[in-house]
Amino acid sequence: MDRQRLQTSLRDLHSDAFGWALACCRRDPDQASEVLQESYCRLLSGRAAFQGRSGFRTFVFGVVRRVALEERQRSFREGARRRPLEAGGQGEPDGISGPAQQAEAKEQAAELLAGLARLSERQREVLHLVFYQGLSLDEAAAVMGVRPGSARRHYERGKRALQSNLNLPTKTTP
Amino acid sequence: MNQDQDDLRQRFRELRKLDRGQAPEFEELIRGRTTAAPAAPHQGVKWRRPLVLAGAACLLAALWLRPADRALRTAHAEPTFDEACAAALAALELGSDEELLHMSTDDLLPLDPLSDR
Repeated sequence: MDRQRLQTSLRDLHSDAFGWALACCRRDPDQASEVLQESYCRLLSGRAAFQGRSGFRTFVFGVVRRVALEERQRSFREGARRRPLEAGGQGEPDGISGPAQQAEAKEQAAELLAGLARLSERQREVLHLVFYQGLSLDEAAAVMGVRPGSARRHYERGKRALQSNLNLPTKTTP
Repeated sequence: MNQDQDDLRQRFRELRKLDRGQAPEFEELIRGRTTAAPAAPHQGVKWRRPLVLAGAACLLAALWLRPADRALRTAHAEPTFDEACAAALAALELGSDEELLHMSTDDLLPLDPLSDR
């Protein structure tokens, strides 16, 4: 894939990649931006080359996850403190108009994030990839670097736990 | 699709809308990489520390060498009592006045030989 095409594909994926970077960085927007920037740098410089063995989105998300893990290890070594999970941002959310709607959306998001915070990291990741990004379980497994069976287990347990945390009606899926 | 999954999906969708509002510009991230990033504050400290240590080491070495150098020079400048006696005797044996003229009184004999013990 040539650089120009790669850049265009990354631009199309940018919003979703940022959402995934946020999930990987415990909802810290500054760190997510740094991780995303480093990921783009690796991709555009060819240090992380797309071989076509998986979907482009899956590949990019895998790179973002790896960079986030490295960043977290580096921060841990330096003794940096992470900000807790929190909802909302400074910008105007897309597609949500009116203060009442915004407040409700933020409240719901905060509730969801609080529920997610009580799950294991793997469960959070797989739920984000499936529900937020719309990936299949196999694609989510590829991004997370685990087997599909393992991803399915994390998904089922995480979903049940999240529904319980959010007081939603639970129903066993086939 | 199950109702419970729809609820979750809806909540994630709302979160996604919120996140989009705070995403940085793609061009901004790409451009940021091409320009040199300013040095982090701790980088200066990292470089300064060895310089300070090297300076301190030089200072200590200089302080340690100074008395040792002075002692060495003093040892060379002042002959011992035995050396002075031997030089005086040699000059007397030769009987050379010139030799005696070039010697100072300090070289020939200490004022109080007992004090040199």
